Amino acid sequence: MIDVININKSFGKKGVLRNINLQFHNHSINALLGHNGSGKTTLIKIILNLVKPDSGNIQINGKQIINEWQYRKDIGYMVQIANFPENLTPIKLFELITKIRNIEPANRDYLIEQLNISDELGKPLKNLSGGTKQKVNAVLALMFDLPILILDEPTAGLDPIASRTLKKILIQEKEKGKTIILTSHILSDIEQLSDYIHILNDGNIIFSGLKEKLMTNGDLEKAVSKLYLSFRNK
Amino acid sequence: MLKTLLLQEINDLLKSRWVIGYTLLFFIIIESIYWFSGDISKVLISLTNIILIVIPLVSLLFGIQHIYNRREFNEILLSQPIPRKLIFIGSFLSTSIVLSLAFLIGSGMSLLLRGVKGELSISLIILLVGILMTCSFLALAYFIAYKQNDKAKGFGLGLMLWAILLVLYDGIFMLLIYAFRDYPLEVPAIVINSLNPINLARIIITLKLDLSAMMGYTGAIYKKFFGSELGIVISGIILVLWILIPYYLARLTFLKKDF
Repeated sequence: MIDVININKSFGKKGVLRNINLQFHNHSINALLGHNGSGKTTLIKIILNLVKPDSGNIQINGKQIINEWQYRKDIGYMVQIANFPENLTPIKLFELITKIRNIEPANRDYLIEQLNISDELGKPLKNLSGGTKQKVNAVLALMFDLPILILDEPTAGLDPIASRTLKKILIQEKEKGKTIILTSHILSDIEQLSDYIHILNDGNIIFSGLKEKLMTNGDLEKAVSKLYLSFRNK
Repeated sequence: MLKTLLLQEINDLLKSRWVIGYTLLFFIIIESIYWFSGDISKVLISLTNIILIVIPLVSLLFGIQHIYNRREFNEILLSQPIPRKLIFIGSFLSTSIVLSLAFLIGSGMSLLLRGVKGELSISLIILLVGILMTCSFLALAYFIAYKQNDKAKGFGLGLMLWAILLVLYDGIFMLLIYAFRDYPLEVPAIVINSLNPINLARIIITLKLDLSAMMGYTGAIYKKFFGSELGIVISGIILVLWILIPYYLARLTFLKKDF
């Protein structure tokens, strides 16, 4: 369980996260939903200690992680923008991260084959398309068989086939017992993948719970629109 | 882990066109000067003037560009189980090693080729000062780029700092000396001069060369106050501080930074 406890974060005068309290549940896919600038990526980065909160705490399975780094051995992270050193090749990049983590990349070959990037492994990353870089990014996050996966818009920039493959892989990972947090703007992806939904609006949590609790009439888009409207009217 | 980070970054940087061009630049400059003058001591004097301009500029721009280019990759590294300080140390060391090597190979190769035997000690001082300046201005570049999120503003600040230290600083310094000419100015001059790494580098080389024409007012004060040898050592120590202080500030900024 990942517990987010009273997290506040501002950039300058702009409050990005306001007193956020929520739980990301184990062995399930937790979707973080919200407009651009609603604070999704900031919250994810606080869990990874890439961003320091102004106040509050994060606990993973009961342990506080703010200002720690060792706990990241259990987390695979897929960044939103895949931008790597120009002259590095995907295979060298995988080797670099494997050396840093000092564990076997159990899923690497399977992912390379599933995402169809075998022919790109020896090419410098500067020569690869945005979609291929995103596939490399996905392999990097998923190749170590880690118990927690954090994915920031994982299907953005992928073609429909690769997007479907990645979603299939994510469901397999969940079935293995992983805790997955993902952000996305694509409601159909969230509807298809998630068990829990957490909705951010202007730095506040406006919904956090089981997907079914939100989708009482079976339509995620309508449910989310209704929720936003009710908060705007307040 | 540090070794892994260092090797990866050095390997990547060595393939950069910037670094290859920078190496060739020094080689071509020295070869051209030698071709025109045919005198190695003239080459060394010209090289001194060139490194005082080129090294600060290239180190600042290269360092700032490197940080902005690696912003997203840093996110990936920072999400791995490694302490932040290792990522910073790896990055700073690798850029310092690569740029210093480029300068050493470019200049050193040409100087060796042209038979620098008679001027060995001054050549070594010039190369050492070049390396110290590279590290100092890279540390300043890191500090600027980590402090300033906006790329255009970062480059603007880098260029402004270069112009101030290279041109404006001496102008303001001379105005102050003129304004307070009735007072004893040796100690204030030494202190003010210590606040500019380019001036320190110039003093070290000119004290070694013993060239009064290039020494300038502060160089002459250093010579009078400390003598040549001690003047070189003191300037060298202050130049090392010009690496350590910006390095510390850049590291502190990196450790606290939101990515």
